[in-house]
Amino acid sequence: MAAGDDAGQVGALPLHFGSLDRRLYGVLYRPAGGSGSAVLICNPLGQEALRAHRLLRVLASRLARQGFSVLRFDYFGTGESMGDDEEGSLDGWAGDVATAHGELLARSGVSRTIWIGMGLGANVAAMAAEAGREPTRLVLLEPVRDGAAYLRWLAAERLRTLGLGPDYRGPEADDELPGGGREVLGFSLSATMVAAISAIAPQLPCWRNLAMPLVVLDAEGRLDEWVDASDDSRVRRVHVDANVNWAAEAADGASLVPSGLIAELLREATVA
Amino acid sequence: MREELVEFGPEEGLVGTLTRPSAEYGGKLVLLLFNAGVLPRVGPRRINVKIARDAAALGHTSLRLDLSGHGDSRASISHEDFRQQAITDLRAAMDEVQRRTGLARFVVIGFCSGATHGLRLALVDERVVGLLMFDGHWYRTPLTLPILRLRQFRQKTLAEILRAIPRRFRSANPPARPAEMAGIDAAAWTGNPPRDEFARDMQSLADRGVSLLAVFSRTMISGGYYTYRSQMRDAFRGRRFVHQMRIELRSDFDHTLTSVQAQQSLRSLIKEWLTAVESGGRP
Repeated sequence: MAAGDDAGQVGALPLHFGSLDRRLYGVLYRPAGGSGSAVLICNPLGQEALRAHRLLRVLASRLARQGFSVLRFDYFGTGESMGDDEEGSLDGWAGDVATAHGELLARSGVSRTIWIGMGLGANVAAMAAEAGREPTRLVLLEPVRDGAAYLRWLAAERLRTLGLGPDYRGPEADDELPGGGREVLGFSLSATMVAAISAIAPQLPCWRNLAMPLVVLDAEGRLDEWVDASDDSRVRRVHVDANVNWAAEAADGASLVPSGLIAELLREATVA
Repeated sequence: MREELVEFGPEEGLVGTLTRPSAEYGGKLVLLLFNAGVLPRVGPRRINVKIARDAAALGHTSLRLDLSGHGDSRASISHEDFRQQAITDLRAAMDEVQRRTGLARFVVIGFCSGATHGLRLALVDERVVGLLMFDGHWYRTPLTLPILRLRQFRQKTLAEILRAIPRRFRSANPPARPAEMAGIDAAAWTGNPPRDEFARDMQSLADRGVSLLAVFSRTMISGGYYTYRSQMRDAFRGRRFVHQMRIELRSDFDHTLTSVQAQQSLRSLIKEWLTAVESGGRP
């Protein structure tokens, strides 16, 4: 992390918001001078959110230093928010995005908002936008393209983290939970959540019904087929040389705050 | 149960979550939970949140905090090194909890590098009545590596044994740190203190009546650090403290509690231990 990044934490306010029975945690950044715009950051899933925490904190600090009000927050059942792991749902999280958006508007007084969603958080942000709470601009960093394939990848990561090979078929390979849920790198997903993620299909890009300007960021070329197949002129591919496996345990030599990725996200947030 | 955010510390830059039980909590313990390596205060797989909420169900209060420069806490402007800063932060946390609740009996749960911080904190602050060190300090004995080899041998097929024979002559030493641990705390691992220093410190705590629990995961086995249950007792043969503490070597969980079952096992262990600490019995 670059020297001085923590200086951006000045003015960072940890807070609880939302209803009493669905209380959420977030950190609000209030710049000394305002740009007239605010940024809402939507986390990826589970282990990826833990590993990306520092990246998103640095991003929030840098945005605040450029005059943006910023809110990064935890969905219900994740992070510091109320609720248990298995109480998470994509619909619920889309509602949390709407709640966070309202909180950000109320506290910042701005009317122009940019949402930055990472991983599954990009899909959730798109869902929330489609449901009615529209940001001025949407930045989707590596949204999940194929939900079933994503869950298989997470299952393989789980075995790798446990030190078990991809062909392992012993008892620890079983990641199913009672009730049809699944554990994903130590986090419990309900059967409803598993079904919702599995339903994410490559032929139905998460942004297809959205009207606002948006951009899809592709870090490793994983979304090439998807983006190439789209004739939507609002969708742009921007390659970011990040090369970080956000689900991994070890950094494996990669920075957890890749400067190239930060730079691209800042650039996309400040596009007029 | 209720959770409230607290901002505290000499610079008001530390952020934590105070979890209180619903019922009146007089006379109960306070758990102190904090960062494992570079992860935020929720802990690996959100384990600190789960432990805090379990503790609340038992009537205990807890504070999980981000140390300076970690998670949501600001970096300190002081010039202390990171180890001393951690102690400063943790004492500030204890002061804050005591100020808010009147409670002054603390149990510290330290994961990996946090185990070191917990040990150092307990040495300087007598409010610490319990210390759990998860994959903390380890000391090999002449049996450590042979037992590892035996475990590995038992797990291999004949074909694997035959293939491994040429490699045996190339390298006999395990890596300095298992790869799965490096990403968690590579920056914070300070190594083991000299044996005599560790023994002296642990004896000091044991003599003070601090409940000591050392938990080692199977990652410590596979890494060749702690490979059999009585290793600590063998390493410090003749020292009283090893008989005044509880040592758990658990093959049902790994260093970062990757499975839900592993988390459940640790949570059960902690709940049982808290009950013992509260009653003042053996850890």
